[in-house]
Amino acid sequence: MNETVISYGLYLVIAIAMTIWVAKTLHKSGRIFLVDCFRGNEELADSVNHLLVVGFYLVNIGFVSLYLKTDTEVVGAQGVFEGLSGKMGVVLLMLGGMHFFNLYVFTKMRRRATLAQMAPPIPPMPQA
Amino acid sequence: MQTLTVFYDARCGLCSRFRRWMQAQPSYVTLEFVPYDSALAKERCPQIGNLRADEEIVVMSDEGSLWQGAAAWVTCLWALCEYREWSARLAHPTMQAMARRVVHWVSGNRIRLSGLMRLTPDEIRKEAHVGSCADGACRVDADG
Repeated sequence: MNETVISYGLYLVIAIAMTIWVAKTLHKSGRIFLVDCFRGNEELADSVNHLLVVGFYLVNIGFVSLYLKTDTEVVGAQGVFEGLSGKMGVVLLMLGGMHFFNLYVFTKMRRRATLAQMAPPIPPMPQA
Repeated sequence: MQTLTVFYDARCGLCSRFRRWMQAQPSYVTLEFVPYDSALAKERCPQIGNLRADEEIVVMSDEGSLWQGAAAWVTCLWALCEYREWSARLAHPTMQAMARRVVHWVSGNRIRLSGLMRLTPDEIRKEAHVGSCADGACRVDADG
């Protein structure tokens, strides 16, 4: 097993572990947002939450596997760390981007739900 | 609120164009358009005669609440799914001061503006008296 294979192995383990951690955080903390969006319909909120997390896993693990291959040969322990940190940096930025995108989707859904229940913004004329 | 009735000027091309535009938008509540000077308008809202609906647009909720002028425009936007956020912005006191001036000017010049923009009023258009407008009120149901 040469250094390249070791860095591939480490890369996969760390990247997938990070993906799972972010997805779990999203799943846990996003639930309350969704319950609020769907006016307390917990079943629907859980279903949407689950679907979002599945999408999150597919996109991220897809990216992680596409991004695995390195063009330069990894030499020595220094090479493993350098290669790994470069790869992991990109994967983490990607995870961050996806996470913020999910937050944006949650906020947008919540905003729509709030708007649907909004009363007319100007009170009516006093009746004679 | 389930229904918003808009008492508009069917003799004004710009107002009729606005009615068609509003009817084409997805709305949170059912919208009904009644010419302000029709018998149906007096039947629905007996006090409309005292409101000078010829000068400023009047809208009414199914609970009988009334809005007029800039407030009525804001309430129309509030009824539409795509523009509810805008209605909240325009309801701000500073925006209302400006909106009142603009709306007042547009209302006062609506016949001239319709002429300039070559807009045909509903009274002349045949389609206003068929289909969803058969009984004198144009109705479009809520979708959101």
